[in-house]
Amino acid sequence: MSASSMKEPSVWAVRQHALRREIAAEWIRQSSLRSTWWCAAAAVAGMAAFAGLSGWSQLAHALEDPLASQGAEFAQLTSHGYFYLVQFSVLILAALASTGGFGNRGAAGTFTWNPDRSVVLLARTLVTAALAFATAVVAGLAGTGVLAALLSRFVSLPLGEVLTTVLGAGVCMALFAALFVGVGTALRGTAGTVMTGFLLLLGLPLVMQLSGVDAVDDLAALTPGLAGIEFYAAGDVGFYSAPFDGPANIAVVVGWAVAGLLVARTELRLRDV
Amino acid sequence: MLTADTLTKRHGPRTAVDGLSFTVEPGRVTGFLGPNGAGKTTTMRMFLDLVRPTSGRALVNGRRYTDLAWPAREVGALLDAGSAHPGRTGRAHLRSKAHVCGLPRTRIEEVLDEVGLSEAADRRIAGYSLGMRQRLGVADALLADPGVLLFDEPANGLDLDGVRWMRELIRRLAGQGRTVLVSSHLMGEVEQVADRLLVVGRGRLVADASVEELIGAWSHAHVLVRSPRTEPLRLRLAQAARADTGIRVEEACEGALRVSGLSAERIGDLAHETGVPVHGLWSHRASLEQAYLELTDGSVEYGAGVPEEVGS
Repeated sequence: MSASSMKEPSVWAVRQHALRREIAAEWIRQSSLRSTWWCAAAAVAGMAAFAGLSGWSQLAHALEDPLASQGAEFAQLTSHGYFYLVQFSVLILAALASTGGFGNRGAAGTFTWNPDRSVVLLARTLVTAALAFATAVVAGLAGTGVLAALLSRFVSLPLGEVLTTVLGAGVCMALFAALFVGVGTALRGTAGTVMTGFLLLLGLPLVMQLSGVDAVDDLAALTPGLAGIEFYAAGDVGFYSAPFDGPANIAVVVGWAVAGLLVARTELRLRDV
Repeated sequence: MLTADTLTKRHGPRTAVDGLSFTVEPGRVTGFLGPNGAGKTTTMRMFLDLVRPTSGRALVNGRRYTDLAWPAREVGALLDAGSAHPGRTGRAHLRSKAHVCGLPRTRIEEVLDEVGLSEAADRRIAGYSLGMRQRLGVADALLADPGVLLFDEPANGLDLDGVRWMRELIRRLAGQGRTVLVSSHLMGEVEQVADRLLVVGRGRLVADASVEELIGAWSHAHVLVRSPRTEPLRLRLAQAARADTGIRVEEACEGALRVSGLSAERIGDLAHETGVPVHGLWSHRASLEQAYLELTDGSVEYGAGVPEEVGS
């Protein structure tokens, strides 16, 4: 019984390092599951495939009219890959990370090991966000690489622009991960979290844009999916034009992430495990 | 030490735990008995802050679980063998907890060896049998070498060897001075390991006593005596019963009496004194199961109905 026989440290001394220890534990929880790596691999493969199809289409245009190919937008094509594919891999990654423990009753173990709900939630958010960021960056670089391989004969690679998009998307995907860890923790169910995420990222803004009402159409800019792409595509989305540019869009995504985590924290404090 | 102080948990109109008060002392095994829905698991989870009490307090070593400096180092719990993620390996599961508790990797090898899972540690938990999962749960509970242990149905899924191993482990842990609370519905198991019993029914404490006290107080050991002349023997026993109110005599069937409160030897002596031949004497010792059933009679929340006899 080492615990009882050793000199007991103060609560404060122990809790100073609690977050660091919980992050290490959360990393093992997520990295030891195949599903985590399947989500990351799906994002990278999806982006590469999307870039391949888009690049092939651009290449066909370029072969027909080399001058027209000058208009090929690496950053825009990559941002479409994030919007249509990568963000959904991040959604599933976050949904599995946040709801898996509730589904198999492992949450009881997690909160027995560390009863500080806020520390557990923060550690889970940070690890999932880091994974989402890394996945998004690797996926973006893979997509850019495919595009460059197909189009380099006709267009020079705008490296700065592409890196801005890739890193911006990484930040945005990390924030989406935080948002959906919050949603998943609050809902405690994978299906509900994925459905909510799909609606927030794609379904809801699509319906709002189709409403034909200008005010509702403008409000769609406040949904996380559209605000996100407006941010990482630097205003050059192509299929959509937001009523406002710049940092306001990332502020919207930050707001969603913070709101999601606050709801999760409140739910964890009030509801039994 | 564990202390429940007028612990109550309500889920809407339903009261799961109703004013439970007890202490669980170190150095002995305390059994926690009760029918399904009696509130055993809810009570255990309240000690771990997984369920918040509606009122009252659940204390570990005098403090709330959340106020302990190293909760997982002070308390180990086996609540649900199926709670470890099936996609993870047993070793990864324990490594995760070792990080939270700030423990070295060598400790993981020690507990894996202790529970006999060293060779299976790198297999995914999905491939474990129920007994192996139960052993992993024990390894989890013992990992931080805690002074307080909560085991919820620890023998579930274990084969005979496993049950014996678990029994010896629990006895050894209590012998080392730890506080051990074991909930089980297997009366025989509890009878063999517990020094003291807490019996709950419908969320209330029904009994708090040693196994012997419980059997003695709540169930009736009796002796069945067969004789071709029961009447003079019944009269002699009734005479003895007038002097001792603990003695009861009743007719079991034709030619047989059921006597409680007297040993078989004493009944034989009385028959001999009366000159009554005895054709048979059977001592019937009460079991904990009988005592438990009598105690919790009426507390079973989800019991099956008594089937009607065919043809009646």
